[in-house]
Amino acid sequence: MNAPAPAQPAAAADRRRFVLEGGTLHDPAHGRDGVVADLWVDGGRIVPPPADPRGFDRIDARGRVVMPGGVDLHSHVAGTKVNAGRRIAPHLARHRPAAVPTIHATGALYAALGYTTVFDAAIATAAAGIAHLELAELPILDKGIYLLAADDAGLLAALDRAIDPATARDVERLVAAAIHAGRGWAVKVANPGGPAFWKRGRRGDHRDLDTPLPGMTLTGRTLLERLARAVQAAGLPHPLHVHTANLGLPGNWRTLLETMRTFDGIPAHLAHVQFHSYSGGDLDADTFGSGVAPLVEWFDAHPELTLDVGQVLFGDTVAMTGDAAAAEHLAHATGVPWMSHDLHLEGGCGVLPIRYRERSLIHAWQWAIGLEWFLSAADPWRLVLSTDHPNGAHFTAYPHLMRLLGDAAFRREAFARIHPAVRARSPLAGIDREYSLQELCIVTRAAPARIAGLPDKGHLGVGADADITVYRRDADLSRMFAMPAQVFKAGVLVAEDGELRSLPAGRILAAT
Amino acid sequence: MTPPAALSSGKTGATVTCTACPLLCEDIRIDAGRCHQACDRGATALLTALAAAGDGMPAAWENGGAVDLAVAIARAAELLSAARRPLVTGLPAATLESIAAACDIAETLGAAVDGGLPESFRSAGPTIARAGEVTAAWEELRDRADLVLFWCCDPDTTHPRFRERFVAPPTAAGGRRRCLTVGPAAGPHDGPDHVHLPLDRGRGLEAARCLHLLLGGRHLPSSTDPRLAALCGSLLTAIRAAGCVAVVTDVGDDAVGLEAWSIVHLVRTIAHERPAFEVPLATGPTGGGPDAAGAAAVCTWRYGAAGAIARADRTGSLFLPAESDAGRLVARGEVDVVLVLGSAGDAVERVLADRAAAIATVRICDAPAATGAVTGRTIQLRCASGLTGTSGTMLRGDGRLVTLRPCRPGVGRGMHDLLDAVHRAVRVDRDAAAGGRP
Repeated sequence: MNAPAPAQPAAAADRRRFVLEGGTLHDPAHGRDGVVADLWVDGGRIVPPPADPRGFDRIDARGRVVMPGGVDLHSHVAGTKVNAGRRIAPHLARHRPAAVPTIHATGALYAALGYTTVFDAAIATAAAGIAHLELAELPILDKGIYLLAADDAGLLAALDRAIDPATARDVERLVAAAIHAGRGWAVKVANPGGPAFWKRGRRGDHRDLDTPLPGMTLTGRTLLERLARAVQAAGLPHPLHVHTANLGLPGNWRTLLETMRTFDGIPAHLAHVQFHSYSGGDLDADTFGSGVAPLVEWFDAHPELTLDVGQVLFGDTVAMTGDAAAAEHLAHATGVPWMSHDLHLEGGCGVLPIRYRERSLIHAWQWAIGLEWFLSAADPWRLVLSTDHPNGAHFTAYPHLMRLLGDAAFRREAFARIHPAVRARSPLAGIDREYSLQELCIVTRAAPARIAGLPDKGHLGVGADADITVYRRDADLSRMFAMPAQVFKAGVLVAEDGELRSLPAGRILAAT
Repeated sequence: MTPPAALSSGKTGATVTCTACPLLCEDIRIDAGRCHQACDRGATALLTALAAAGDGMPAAWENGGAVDLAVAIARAAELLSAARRPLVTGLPAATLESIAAACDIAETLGAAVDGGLPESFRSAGPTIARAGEVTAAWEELRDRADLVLFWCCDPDTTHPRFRERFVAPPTAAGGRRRCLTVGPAAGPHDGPDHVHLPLDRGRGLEAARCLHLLLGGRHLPSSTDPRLAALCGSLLTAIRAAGCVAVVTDVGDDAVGLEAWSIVHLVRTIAHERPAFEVPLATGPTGGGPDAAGAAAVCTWRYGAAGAIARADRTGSLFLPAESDAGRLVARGEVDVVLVLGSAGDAVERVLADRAAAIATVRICDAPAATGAVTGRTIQLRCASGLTGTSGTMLRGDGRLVTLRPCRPGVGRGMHDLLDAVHRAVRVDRDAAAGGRP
């Protein structure tokens, strides 16, 4: 975090009772789009204007943009696979920021960026204990984990049996038990049924959602449907978080479409859809491409579905996934080193370094497909900005992504540099949409908070957590979002002009 | 094993955790003064520790003489605060909570941190990181592997109950398991399903490379030793007949990292054909410790590398393998005060003893006898027995978190508590040195 000296240093680092005066509020949950107003904070929460304002410090926010703290709904920040990612590419560890930062740096960098909540999206239940020890050292942010409960042998067997309401309740009980044991926030499924094939050396047999798992009548499709119903019945704050099958493979848009069709009215969240939206079949310039259009059409018509994009941005990073088969495929395709670790009766993980290049046909398509999703889906309230950190890009690249979305001229310049075959065929060439500040606020704060099931976050209404980011208005959105003037977490000033001011611990978010 | 007469006071009936080796067996019962389920090493260690508990030893020593604990903590803090370049080591014997507390001290002091793990002393350092590896939890071996290759390792010595717990049971499908031991020693389990393929010590790398060639469909060079060629031919036949292959290794003493690198590639090649994974036991030159995996995990999430941390810094530290490992820092005289959790391991302890006149030591351990001769400036704080009195968590070698169930919880002050006390005193000293400024 390199930062200039603060222009207007706050009077105190720990400012628990204060009023932000005259800021331009973006609070989509309450329909405030650039409304100039004061914001009163007391005891870590936003409060109504007090009858007696004495005792409240005054902070001048005139001319500045005020938003809720950012919420990263899908990231990878802790646990065994993240530690493996820190070690697999020592040269990337020496980047600043490191491709996979230390746990302390992760919290500090997120906070300096204006983010105040993060979820690690893939922790095996058996590995939740060590992940929580690590997360306890992630400063400032509130944080939670999604449990890869669907790979547990007991739960798989229960899902296989769950053909009537009585047996379905067994699944609900096991889901609740896993969430309790692992102190999880949500249930994630990575490549539904895939690990069952992977562990039996039959990964080649797992092509679609309708192949029965080895030794079962359960298929990927029935697994998704039954598990999503169980998550809904268990009353978890976030619906089933779905990383569907065939990640990264040409032609996988059909798998994602079938996945969406499977839910048919059941709430579900689709993770990193960019990696699941490819047309074609044989990895050449003529057939590989975008399958986004039919997917968006279905998505727009089905309000029970939400998604995060998993945008790819160019540069070095480390890929890590609970989908070991996908990691193996990618490692073989690229020839890079990789790590894989299987867990007892559960899923595993795969980790490998990767460099996304503008002039690579595949990488350019991935970049364009992610942006196409952002710019063609109609309802920003059901769509979340993410890079699936660090898989698509480092989270510190979010400001760059926000500029790509909010500045069409900037996007056209970037588009002109990518692989010519993609420039010729990508629908992105014909899209002129620009995200407004309000829409950027929705996809980075309001929508992820609502989708994650966090009623006290993502908005600036009375009673909300006082997680607040204050920006200097700047025509260069990348510069504006990269360096908030002030970031408050639960009413405490934690960062100012890129410099940390305090290090509160943050809370662990657990559903039970 | 029959315990010493004094000890019948151990907790009886309930199962306890044995921390005598990285297996962290959780099924040990101490009943009527006997230790059930434990291996000989674990039983001896547990019962001896139980006999020693509460024997009236002092709470602290300074230069070998008993001192009040509060005085010792203050002196320890003085030593550490005044250090030109301190080192924190001995992490693999401590709980995750104690490791974190020791790292807190290291960060306050800007100390070097090294747990004595293989990655930190190898000149090739992160070789495995560059090669990648395919591994699995030990229960995966138990449930899935119908062929186990013990590759130049001796788990009966380093992890005594490994075979009993994870290799002897049938697979989850009820199938029999074939075991091949490659190396100089046959091991004690020879039988119809267990074959010893003799290989001279130091030839593991050559064998791995040859087998790798055969798996790739290539011919061995004509100069290959015929016995080695025959061994690799037998291995190839066994692998081709297997459904799932586990390769158990211990390459901790490989100072270059080339053998580890070759085995990683070998396992990946097998994994391309059929399910296969490596189970690296990796005891290392120091004999590791029950929580070697925990030390690696905490150092990695705090500093970005498993050890050889030149200066503890949570925002990202410089990792200098074979440069900032504990042994070399002490041997070169680059550190003047060393904070040791329990034991620094045989190799580092020898170097520390050699340089005792020049290097002060602050040690938190459960008995002075474990620390060797006192020849230089030393402060020792006595903590609860690591075997019988330590609560907290450790990370098993395959990544499973284990919550310790001690025989005598609450007897003696925990290492974690003592580290916190030292840390508080260090901060007071440093604040005072800074003229009261925080």
